[in-house]
Amino acid sequence: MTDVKFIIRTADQTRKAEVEMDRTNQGADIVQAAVDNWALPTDTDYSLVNVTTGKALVPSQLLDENYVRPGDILEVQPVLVAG
Amino acid sequence: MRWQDQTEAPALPSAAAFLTRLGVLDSVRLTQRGNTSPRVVITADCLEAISFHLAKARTEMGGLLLGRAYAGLNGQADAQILVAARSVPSQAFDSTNVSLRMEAEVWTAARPFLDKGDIVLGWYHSHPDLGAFFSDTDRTTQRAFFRQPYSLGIVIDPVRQEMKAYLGPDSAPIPAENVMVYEGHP
Repeated sequence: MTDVKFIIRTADQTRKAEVEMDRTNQGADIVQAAVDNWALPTDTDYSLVNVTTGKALVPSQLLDENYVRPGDILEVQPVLVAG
Repeated sequence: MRWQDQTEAPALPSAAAFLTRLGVLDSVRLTQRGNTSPRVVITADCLEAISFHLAKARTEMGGLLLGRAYAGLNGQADAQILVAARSVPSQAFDSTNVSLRMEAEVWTAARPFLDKGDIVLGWYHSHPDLGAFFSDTDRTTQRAFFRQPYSLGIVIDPVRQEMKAYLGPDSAPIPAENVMVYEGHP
């Protein structure tokens, strides 16, 4: 197992964390960690984008070197709803 | 997994430098109000862009508001002047005349401006012919994703030509007299 250390932030850039995760984790695990640690709403859809590479990570994407490199910045982007 | 939070409270710049750029008359207009609620400055270009966007359809539309937040003149650390200088319309959305879902791409569209120093000041959306007010859904979104003390929510009814502004995670109404359209480029 190999860990990768990266930066995660909210889309408005008001929250940031350094995260170290095993590469066997998936994109969905990163979003879940952000939801848990920052008390984000659970009933919202989120996208995960690697800002450094410009690539989106789908929920099932493993954190392999093609998608997340050490030091990359990942952004959790919520879908916004209004009524 | 190891998670080390590095969030820092935003340090807002003083409003003094901004007011200097405004000029005397506009500074007086902005600061002499009968209440202590924060002042909102929307540049004419920003308001025009929003109006143009929201007039395109009779269903709800929206986007992000970018700009700057300034602390008070008297040493208050909280935001006292909010300057909305740019809008980022949501291009990927699903809407009806009473609902709106803005896909996450709007955040990516905003990022180049954030990299240049703007902040996400808030968001805007329309209520075509429903009146300008924050619904329960709007308040929930504001509380969840626009939770800074300076976070601004603007709702516009382009048919009735009404606009209301709300502040912070509790969606506190901002008095209309505190909202100023500025013709220049602060």
